[in-house]
Amino acid sequence: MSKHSSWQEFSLGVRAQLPLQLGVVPFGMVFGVLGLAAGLTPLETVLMSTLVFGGASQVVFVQLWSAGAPPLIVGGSVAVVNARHLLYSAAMAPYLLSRPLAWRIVLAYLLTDEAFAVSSKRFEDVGNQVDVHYHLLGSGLTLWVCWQVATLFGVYAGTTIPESWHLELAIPLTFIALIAPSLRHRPHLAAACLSSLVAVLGQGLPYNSWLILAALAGIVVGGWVGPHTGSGSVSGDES
Amino acid sequence: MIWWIMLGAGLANFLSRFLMFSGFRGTRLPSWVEPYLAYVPTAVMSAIVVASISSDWQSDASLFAMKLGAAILAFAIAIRFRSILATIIVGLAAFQLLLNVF
Repeated sequence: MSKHSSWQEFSLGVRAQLPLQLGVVPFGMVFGVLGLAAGLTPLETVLMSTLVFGGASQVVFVQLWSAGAPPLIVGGSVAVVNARHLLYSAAMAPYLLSRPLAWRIVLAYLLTDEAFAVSSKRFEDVGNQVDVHYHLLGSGLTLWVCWQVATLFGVYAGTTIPESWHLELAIPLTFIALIAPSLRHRPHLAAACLSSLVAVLGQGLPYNSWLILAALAGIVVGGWVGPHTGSGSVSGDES
Repeated sequence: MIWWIMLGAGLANFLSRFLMFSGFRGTRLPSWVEPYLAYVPTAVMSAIVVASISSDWQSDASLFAMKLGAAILAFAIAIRFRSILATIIVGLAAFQLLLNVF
C-alpha cells in the first residue's frame, strides 16, 4: 500500500516536470557550449553541471571565470544568485522536516526553480501526506537527468560550432529571458535600472567588485520601492 | 584551481538549498530579509546583462550596436512569450543576421 502510493507520487512528479524540459534541455545545451567557449575543458563543463547543478549559477560562474574574476568573487556571486533557494527550502521545510536526514540532503541537492514550482503546488494540494516527498524526488530527478544529458550534448555540439557565431551572447540572452517578465513590477524594474547603472559605472573598479556593488544597490532599491508601492502581489507572482 | 572553486560553488549552492531543511535552531530568516531576497536574481542578472553587452562599447562600436539590437529584440520576445528557448533562439538569430548583413 505504502509502496504503491510512493511510486504514484514519484511518477506524478516526473510527469509534472517533463513539459518544462522543453526549456531546460536547450538551456543545458547552451551551457555546454558556453563552458567550452569560456575556456573550460569538456570534463570541467560536464562535472560543473553535477557539482554546482544550477543553470543561472553555472552561467554566472563561467562568465566570471572567463573574465578572470578572483575565486571569492566567483564563489560569492554564485552564492548570491542562489540566495532565492533559501526561500524555496523555507517554504518546503514544513513538509519535509520530519523525513530522515538522507532524504532531506538528496531533496535539497535536487531543489531547483522548476522542481520547486511543480512540487510545492503538489505539497499545498495534498498536505503533509506520508509519501509526498516522492513527488519532489520525481520532479527533481527528472530535471537532474535532463540537465546532465543536455550538458553532454552541448559539449559535443560545442566543438563543431564556429566562433564567429558569437554564442557568448547566449549568456545575456538567457538572463534577459529569466528576468524580463519580472520587470513589469515596479520594484524589480527599479532594482534592474539601478544595478545596471552601477554595473556600467563600476567597470573600472578592482576585482570585478562592480557586480557585488550593483547587486547590493539593486536589492536595496528593490526592497525599498517594494513595500511603498503597496502591491502585496509582487512576491506572490514570482514563482 | 577551478576544481576548488567549483567545489566551493557547489557547496554554497547545496547549503542555500539545505539550510532550511536542516532543522538547525535559528534557520528561520528574520522576516525583514525576505522582501529583499526577491530582488537578488533581478539585480544580479541585469547587472551582468548590461555589463556583457556594453563590454565592446569602446573597442568595437558596431559589434556593440548589433548586440544591443539583438538584446532589445530578445527582451521584447521574453516579455511577450515568456519563453527562455524562444528568447535565446530569436536573439541569437537576429545577432547572426546583423553580423552577416553589416
